[in-house]
Amino acid sequence: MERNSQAADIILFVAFSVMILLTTIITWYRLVIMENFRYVVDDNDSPERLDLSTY
Amino acid sequence: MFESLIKSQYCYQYLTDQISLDLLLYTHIPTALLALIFSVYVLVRRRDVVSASLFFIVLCFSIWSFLDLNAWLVFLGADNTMFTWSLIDLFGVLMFFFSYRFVYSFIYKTDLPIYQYYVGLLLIAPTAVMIGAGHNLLGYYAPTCEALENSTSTYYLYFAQAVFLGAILWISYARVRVLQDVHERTQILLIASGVSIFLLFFLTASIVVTFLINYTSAANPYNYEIYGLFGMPILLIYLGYLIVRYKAFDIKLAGAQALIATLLGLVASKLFFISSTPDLVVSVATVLLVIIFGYFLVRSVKREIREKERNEVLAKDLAKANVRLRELDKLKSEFVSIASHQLRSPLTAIRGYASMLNEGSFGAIPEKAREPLQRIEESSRFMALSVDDFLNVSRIESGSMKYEKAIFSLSKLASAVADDLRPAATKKGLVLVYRSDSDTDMHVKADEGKIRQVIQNVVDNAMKYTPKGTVSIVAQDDEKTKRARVIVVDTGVGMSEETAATLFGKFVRAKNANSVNVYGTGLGLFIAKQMLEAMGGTLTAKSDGEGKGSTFTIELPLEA
Repeated sequence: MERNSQAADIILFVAFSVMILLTTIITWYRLVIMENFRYVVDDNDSPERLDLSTY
Repeated sequence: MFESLIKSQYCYQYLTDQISLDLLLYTHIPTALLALIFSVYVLVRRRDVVSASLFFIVLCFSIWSFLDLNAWLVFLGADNTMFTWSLIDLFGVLMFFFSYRFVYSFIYKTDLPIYQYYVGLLLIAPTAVMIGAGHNLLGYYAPTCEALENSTSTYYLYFAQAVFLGAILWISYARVRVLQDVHERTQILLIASGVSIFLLFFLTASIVVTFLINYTSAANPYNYEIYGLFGMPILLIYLGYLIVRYKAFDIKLAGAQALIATLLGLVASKLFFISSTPDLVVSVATVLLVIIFGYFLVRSVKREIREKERNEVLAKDLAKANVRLRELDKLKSEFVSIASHQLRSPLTAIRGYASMLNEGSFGAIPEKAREPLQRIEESSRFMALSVDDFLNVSRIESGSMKYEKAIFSLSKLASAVADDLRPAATKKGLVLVYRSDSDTDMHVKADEGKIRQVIQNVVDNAMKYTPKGTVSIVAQDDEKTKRARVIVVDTGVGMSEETAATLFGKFVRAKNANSVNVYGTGLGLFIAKQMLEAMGGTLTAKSDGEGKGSTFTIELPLEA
């Protein structure tokens, strides 16, 4: 089976890897290290006034 | 097992009230592991874009499974839940992209064109950006220990996944529509439906969950997401079938090995949930037994395959040699044909002039020269007959022998041949008799000249191999089987079973031929049989043994 040119292969590999790694690291840093997320304790505290009665 | 990891007793209680922890582990771990083992195996065996894509699908599935499991284990803390919940979407959409690449490369036997990679990247990128920027989740909802999803990013994810699924269906349909080869079509249909069912299970389960959350008040909607995981075993079954039935991915051993791996996976995964010692002993013993039997099974299959491959190589060599032999045989026939044609004309001249000299056309010849001249005539006559035989053989083998079929009486023909050959028989001291057992003329449809040649050949042969006694020609017909027969019975040297078996071959002469001092090329019976068979007849021979005479039967279908 023929593959595309090597340069294109490397670019794609890097693009996919960077996308996955960057997303993972940023998310890890934001949510696990910084714990930067909204902690909703009850329905009155819900973001964007979601109807949380179904949860 | 989990006590030391529990960060939130409340969430632990909340989870175990909703769903069995064992079931959760049991649905996620073995499938992901099995799929991973399978794909690594495929990748190791065959390094190409199809196997690599399959590996990436299953890798994404395994990571997805692991993340999903982690997201379920809410008692590990809010940060853990939020992190894993975020990344699930990324691997979900990547899995769809690799599925498309897998089907594309399977169908077209080549990697995706570059622009399709960029389109894929463009479709995946928004999900990655939304995850990175924290737009995909609105927050952590403590009462249910779950993350709150942002419907915009969820709907975008479904859109991207649906585009990949649609593309898979479209390329498969487009390819199957133009393909002629049934095997290839079936393989593509199997691959496309296996992958589509797998992805549909996945997508549908997610959409059902979103629908339940947004539009109903169903209790524990995320439980339904687990059903999506059943798509993977279905895909594996499809792939397994492809491997076994079509030898796809060039894996012949995979059938046996996948069976062992599945058994081992199922039996071993039970070990996680066993609490009593006797159960543990039985399970460990079962695992060991599966390993031992599996080893022997795989080894025997391996040996069988090696044997089969060796036989295939031998068969191929043999086929090649056979083709070469046929070519040589054809060349030989052509050579014989050309050579014989060149011999024929001078021979005719030699025979003609020898005959004329003998008859005194050029005046009286000295008494001393008479015998040599007779020998020249006799030898050239025999030589001309041999040349005719060679020419006939080359015509039969090249398929250029022409048969002019007409209806005639076989019994009358046999009688005429007997009359023709009687003087020669009498000269040799033999009795040649003809008898007809039929009330009719026995009409057959064949080339009369060729049948005359056949009967002459057979009777002449009988006379050659009969030093003394009788040669009988009997005409018979069988109304039941609608066959006409000419049977030639002699009291000659007979033949062994060994000779009878090879009698109708080319250049075959009886072992005892020299004992009766017979000239011959060993082609007469071969030509007779070939010509008869070409006209729908048969020629058979039998003998009770050496010295006990022979019986030759010429058979043709009766004409109504």
